[in-house]
Amino acid sequence: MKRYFYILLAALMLSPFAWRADAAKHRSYVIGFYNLENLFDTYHDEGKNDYQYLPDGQNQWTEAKYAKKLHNMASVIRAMKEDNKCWHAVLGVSEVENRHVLEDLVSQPEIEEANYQIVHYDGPDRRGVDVALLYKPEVLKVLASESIPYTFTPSRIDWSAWTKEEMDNFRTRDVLMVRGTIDGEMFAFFVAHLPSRLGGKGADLRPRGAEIIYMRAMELQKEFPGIKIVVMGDMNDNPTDASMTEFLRGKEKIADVTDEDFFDPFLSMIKAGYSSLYYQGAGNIFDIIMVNNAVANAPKGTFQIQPIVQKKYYGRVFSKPFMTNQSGQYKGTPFRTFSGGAFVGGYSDHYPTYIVIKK
Amino acid sequence: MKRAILTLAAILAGTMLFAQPSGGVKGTVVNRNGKQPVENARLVLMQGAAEVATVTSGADGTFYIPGLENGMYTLVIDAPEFLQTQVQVTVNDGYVKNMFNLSLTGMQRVAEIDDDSFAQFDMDDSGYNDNPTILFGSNDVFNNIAGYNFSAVRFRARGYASESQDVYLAGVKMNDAITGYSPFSLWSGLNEAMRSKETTNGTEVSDYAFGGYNGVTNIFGNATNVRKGIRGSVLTNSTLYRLRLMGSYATGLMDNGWALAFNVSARLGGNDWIDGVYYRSFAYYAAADKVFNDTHKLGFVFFATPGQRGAQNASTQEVYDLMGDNMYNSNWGYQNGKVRNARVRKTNEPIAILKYDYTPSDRFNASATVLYRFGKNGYTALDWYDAQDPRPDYYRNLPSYFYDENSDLNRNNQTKAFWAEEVWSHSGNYPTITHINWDRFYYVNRIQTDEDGLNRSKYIQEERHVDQNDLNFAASFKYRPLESITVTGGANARINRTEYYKQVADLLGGDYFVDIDNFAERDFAATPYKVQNDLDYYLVNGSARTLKVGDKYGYDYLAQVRNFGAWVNGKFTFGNFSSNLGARIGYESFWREGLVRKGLFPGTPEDDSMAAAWTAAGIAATDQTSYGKSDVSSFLTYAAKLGLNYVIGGAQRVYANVSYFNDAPRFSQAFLSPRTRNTLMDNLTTVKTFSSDINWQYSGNGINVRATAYYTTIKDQSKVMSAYDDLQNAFSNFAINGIDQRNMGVELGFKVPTYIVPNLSVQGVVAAGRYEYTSNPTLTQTVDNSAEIVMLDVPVQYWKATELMDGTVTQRHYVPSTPQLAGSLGLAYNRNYWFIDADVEYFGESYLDMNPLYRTASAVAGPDNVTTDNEIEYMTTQEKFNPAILLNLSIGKSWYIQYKYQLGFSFNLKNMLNNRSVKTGGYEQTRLVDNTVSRTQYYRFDSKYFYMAGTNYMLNIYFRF
Repeated sequence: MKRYFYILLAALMLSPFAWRADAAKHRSYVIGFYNLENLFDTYHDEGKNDYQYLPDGQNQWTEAKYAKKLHNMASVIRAMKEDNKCWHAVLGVSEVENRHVLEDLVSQPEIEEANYQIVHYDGPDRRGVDVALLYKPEVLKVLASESIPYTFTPSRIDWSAWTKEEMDNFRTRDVLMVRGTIDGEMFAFFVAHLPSRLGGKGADLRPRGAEIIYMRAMELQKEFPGIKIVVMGDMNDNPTDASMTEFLRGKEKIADVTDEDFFDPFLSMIKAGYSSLYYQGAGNIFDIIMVNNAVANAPKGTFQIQPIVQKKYYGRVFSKPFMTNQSGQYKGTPFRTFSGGAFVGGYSDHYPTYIVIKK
Repeated sequence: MKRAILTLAAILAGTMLFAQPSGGVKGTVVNRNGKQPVENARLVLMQGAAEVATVTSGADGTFYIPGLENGMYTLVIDAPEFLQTQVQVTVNDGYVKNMFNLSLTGMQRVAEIDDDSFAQFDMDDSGYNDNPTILFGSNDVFNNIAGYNFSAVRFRARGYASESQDVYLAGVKMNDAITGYSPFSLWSGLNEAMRSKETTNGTEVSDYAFGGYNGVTNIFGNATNVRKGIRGSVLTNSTLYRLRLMGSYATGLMDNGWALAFNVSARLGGNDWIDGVYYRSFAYYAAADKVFNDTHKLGFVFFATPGQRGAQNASTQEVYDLMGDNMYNSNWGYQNGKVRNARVRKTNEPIAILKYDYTPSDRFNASATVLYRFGKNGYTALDWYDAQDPRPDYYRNLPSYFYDENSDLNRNNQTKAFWAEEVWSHSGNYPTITHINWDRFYYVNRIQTDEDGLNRSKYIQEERHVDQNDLNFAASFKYRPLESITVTGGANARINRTEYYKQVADLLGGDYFVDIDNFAERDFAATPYKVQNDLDYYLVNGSARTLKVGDKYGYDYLAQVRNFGAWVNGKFTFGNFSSNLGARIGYESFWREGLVRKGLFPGTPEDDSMAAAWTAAGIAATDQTSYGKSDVSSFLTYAAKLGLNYVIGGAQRVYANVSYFNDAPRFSQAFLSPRTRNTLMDNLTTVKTFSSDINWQYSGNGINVRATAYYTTIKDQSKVMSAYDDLQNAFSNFAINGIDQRNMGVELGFKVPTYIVPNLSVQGVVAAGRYEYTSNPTLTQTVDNSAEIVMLDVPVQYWKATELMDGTVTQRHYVPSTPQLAGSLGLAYNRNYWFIDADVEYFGESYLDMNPLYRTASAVAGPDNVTTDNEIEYMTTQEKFNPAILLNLSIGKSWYIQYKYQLGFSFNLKNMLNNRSVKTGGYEQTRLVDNTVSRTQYYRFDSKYFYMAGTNYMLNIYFRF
């Protein structure tokens, strides 16, 4: 009896070392998305409608508020690092005003050590906000990037309800695509912030956004066989909505994923009741990350998506009490920067989401 | 010529110079680590593959590339020892793009990454056990629908008394210290200021209070929680008041740490349904919060809702039928042709709050509040001396008093009955009879001239005051030592001193009224001291006080209440399972303090001189006293709660609660006759409540469902009521002890998208319960005029059921005044800031409040003291109301104007079927007909009822910016 005990003890003592040896062989990286909820600086950008976010604007966006906002955003990124014991290798963000705020964000003392590099294009929507990609340069070697404009053709959606003028005047955020290598494997990252849900004729706008991403992704798969693709963003739709299931072909189960599909880890998660934001008390996951077949059913020895929550969910919604309203009408929902027009010093109306790939 | 060419060249060059594009890009190259400028960084501007410009950063790191066409560029920045950095630059509208700092990352820093910052995410080590974060608690689908739609029929969830619903303001329990009543009227009209709140259900523990078994509502009420901006609204409705005007302004938390908020309103006018009911109510609210260092917050709030409103009265069905109107209100009459209500609530009870919040971290917060409520609360009524009851629907004015088919009642005067019927069924012709006859009061009062030439009023309007001085202290904390453990707790203290008295509100044309007890005068006309309401005044002055408007009279005493308590609750989470365990302990005491000495109960002399004076005046000492401090009644209270919650996943959870409460009775239930003496009820004991529920909830994909089964027993309740008793021919007090009840049932609430029509949902609730009495309490009866106990702990034999002589139960008796079966089914449409809700409702199994006297063996047996089955059924059966079906509709829409202003309206149409025969409540009179021919049985007086209004509307238009 005693002998077994010693063997067990030895095994237990050795196991951390065993893990270390194992870890050296394997590499895993965290890839995530975070809607930063209006990260604006305090200066007016010529030609941009940022008047709400100026010191004398409606939100009285002063240096002090901006500093607090930057600190808060960096704290969340830092908190994810504390939880994961490693920095995100790739972090897509949305609702940023310009490159300047990203420079200020990555230079925040909380996350400065991560050395995040920035890919950002000024978008066409002058009222709106942009998406961007932050990445660790020692992990991702960027080869190319593009800002994919939102167009209406070619499309399988019936746009007969729209006049040409309406289409020409419609402005929304571009989709960002960044291509590069991780450990020699070709990756492409799409970061999107699809049009919001304002009703009316807007119902087709998100499927169209998904279609744009899907078509570009399929081109990339043709151009770079075996390329691993990660699509992320604030889709303004749930994983269960048609934009995600039909137009991006997001599948719930890895086994069902073919080269024409994506695996959407958040599909099973929303069904289980996970939420990255709330609207009128009801949970949603608009912050979706999907991977193509090369990540879902990865060839042996290459990066593959991993279950990270309850041993069965392949995505995670990151929320901590400090990012969450602890009292009041909105108790349990993300602690926002503004509430009812008043600055309350919170974080974002979205929680960040992420996945982990490993080889 | 040469010159000309040169000039031309110069001009051309000039134009070319002018034609150079104005766009450009500038910025500063810095080292990410330390923000020092990077000198001599090489910046190459590319457009596609083409190199547009190359510059070098200056000593201060700055660079500037002018003359750029609009378009997208890539700026490639190289500097020794730094990673190459690419920046996308868009030049728009010819502006010079300021990139501010462009930071470069040192090559070395990337290379020298240590294990720690490059540690790898390891599955086995840190696979997460996150649980779904469904907001099960907020927007409870059952309460949303039932709370709004069922209020018209006075639906009470699970059949619980409204006093059991705990209402807190700024962390302080606001339920009335004396009666436990809900305090909402204290801030009615201040909707904007009081909008922000947190609510728990059933036995759930709130963060701010331990709570009971019927939910906790905590209204924040402070300046920071009032929505920023200016708001105004105009509301009109057809059942309460014509017009409500409301405005509010709040700053939100400003940069200087202050938040200010203001709210004012006026509610004015009458309504379409009940004559005499009107509002003339105003409300004001001002609040300020100051935040220090994000950690400390000090808040001050002051508000009040001064005003008056006319009240409604219940009448018998005979009156309603004769009038042809179930909304007849006997409280008003014409004075000089204008409607005047005899029963008006006049209140002005300001509340001041000082609150301190301490939030050092997201793991711990605490707050402390001091709240003071004061002011006046009056309710007018008619009072009369040496005259018949002047209320128009007094039973002696009705046809049934003159003639009844049952000869045993000896009411045979068909002529008088005919005339009475003629009058009541043609009310418009006889308003002085079917409504209060104010003009007659004035006439009568003006001819009561005494020897001094002054008129002694026979009829006056009195104002019964319940003026509170309510000082509260409450503190609470929330602490989360671990992610999986949250501890909340708190302490509270309440000091309440409430003065009960009457004052003369209006002498109605006379010059004075006299402070004597007219009930006592009937029995003791020969012993003048016994008739005195204020014996000490009488002894000094030799006669009763003559009263002017504003003088106190009748009775004057203090209710003194002291409560102290503390509570703690722990919430523990293990994966999908969580539980909470909490306990509360408290000490409550109360006593009465008589401020005047009543002739009927002088007590014993306090000193020799008083004893001598009494002897001289022939005053006999009594055991029971009206003056001074009563015995102190005190109770140790305690409660415990256990909750279990399991998140199944898939947006579902099951949860269950059990709790036990040992609560003190209230002051209003404890004194036999607080108007006249200090005598406490015997056998006063705590109320014991056991409550349990089990619930299933689904909340996801636009679907919300909750199903609940509950079982609650409430034991040892007591009640005190006062009424005229015909058997004693005296004003009488009934104290009932040991009322037990059991409330069990199921609740279902659901809202499900139709899927067929987008944005259209089906919603509904079902509340099916059985709230029944499970004990036969005991009754103690006293009369005001003597210390004698008429009945002592007599069992109320037929309280819980109508049980015949052979033991057959023909009817069980139920907790009254709420439907035990209620359901609603409707459609809700919501799109583009439009909402349309339509629903149909059913209410059934509602019962009339019972009077205990009718359920005693002696009332059933009658004068011959022989009990028969007929008598049992006649006297003890509880009236069940007819079921009702209602149809309601609400429509609303709001518009945003320039993203800044919001204009909207909501319109509600209730009871669209115009059902005017829905009883919402009422009561049995305590009186008996005892002068029968056969002298074998007693007869009941008719019950009185309240009815719901027919089709009614509310329109609210609001503007916000």
